[in-house]
Amino acid sequence: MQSKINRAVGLFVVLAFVGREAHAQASALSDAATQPAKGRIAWREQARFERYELLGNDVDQWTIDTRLIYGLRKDVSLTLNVPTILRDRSAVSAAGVGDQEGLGDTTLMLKWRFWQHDPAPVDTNRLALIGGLRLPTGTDGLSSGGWDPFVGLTFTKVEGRYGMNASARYTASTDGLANPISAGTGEADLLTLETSWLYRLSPSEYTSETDASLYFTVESFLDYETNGDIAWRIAPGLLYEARRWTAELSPIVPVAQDIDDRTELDWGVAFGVRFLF
Amino acid sequence: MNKKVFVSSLLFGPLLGLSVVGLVGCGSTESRAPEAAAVTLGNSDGASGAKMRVDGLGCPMCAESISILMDNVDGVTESRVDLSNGVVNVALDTSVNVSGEDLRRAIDDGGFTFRSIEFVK
Repeated sequence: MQSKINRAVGLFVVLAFVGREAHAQASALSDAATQPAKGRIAWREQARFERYELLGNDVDQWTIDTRLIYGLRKDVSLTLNVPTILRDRSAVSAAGVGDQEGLGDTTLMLKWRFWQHDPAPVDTNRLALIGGLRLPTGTDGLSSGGWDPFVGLTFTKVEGRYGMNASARYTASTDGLANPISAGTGEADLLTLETSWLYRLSPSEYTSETDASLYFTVESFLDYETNGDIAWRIAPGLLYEARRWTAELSPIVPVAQDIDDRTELDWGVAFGVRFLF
Repeated sequence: MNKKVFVSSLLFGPLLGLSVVGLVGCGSTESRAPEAAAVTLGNSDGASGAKMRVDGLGCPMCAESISILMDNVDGVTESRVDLSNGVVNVALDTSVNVSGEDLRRAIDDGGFTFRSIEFVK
């Protein structure tokens, strides 16, 4: 399993260094009401490690998200997200038989930015409607098996040194795993609320020479499933953004979990690099 | 913990906060757009550059994406975005008659708000 993880991380690094991202001021994990320009493609790679606890033992999971975003119009984009998952359950199964690897479920999403207000050179306010479908393209044991539609709303605000993103998304489950690990992969519907705050640590004021910014970020995720499971996680992090590339690092910490039908998260970390060409 | 209380506080607290911040924020920033109606377009007619005012740049990487958009406009040879004042300076090929409308459209396609343009001889 270790070699598989190493290969996955290696693949991530390679992809990250050829990737392109056309929008920023978006935190590592949460959505934002930003999108690529009309006719342009954004490519983002992100790796996420999560440790879950199952029957008193650790389950380690690497997820590498490959995301292509195409600007259909200046205010409409189409996103294709394909996750690759490596799940190490060797601590649970002595023989390591329970390891799982493969593709997760592909997600197709349309984002329509229906409101925008730009009051100053840097400041912006944007509101977008999102909707899409999660397709049962994943490997057995990693796929929910359903054609799961979702709809939501996302908001972005940048004002001076401060930025904020917030989104709400409801995913209807049409099928699900019998023993789900993460939220939304079981048979219950999922309501996710994401909020992220960004504070520009440096520079305090932009000048004509400014070529990079460093942000402190805090992200909050609330997953509520219709079976009653609820989990609240936060992810404090740093985002360094130059004109052509960004780097992000965010530990993921569970704040409160009331979960009966899936596995509890111990901790996680997400990191990524984006490039603009 | 009572699950209903837990859910209610966590679900609606951030949404309420978001609504308040969003609404107050929009109201307070509305008055800072004095150049909103100052749109003047034209053609370069041998000008060596153009200076545009743009709002909603957001961040250094967003600003850089404007440079990429400008590179796709015929006649633009170089561009630089000044985040401190939202000014996009482009150098133009004097042999090409660059349309101000083409430059405005490039800004618009990027999802930014075009305010004005001034060609520099």
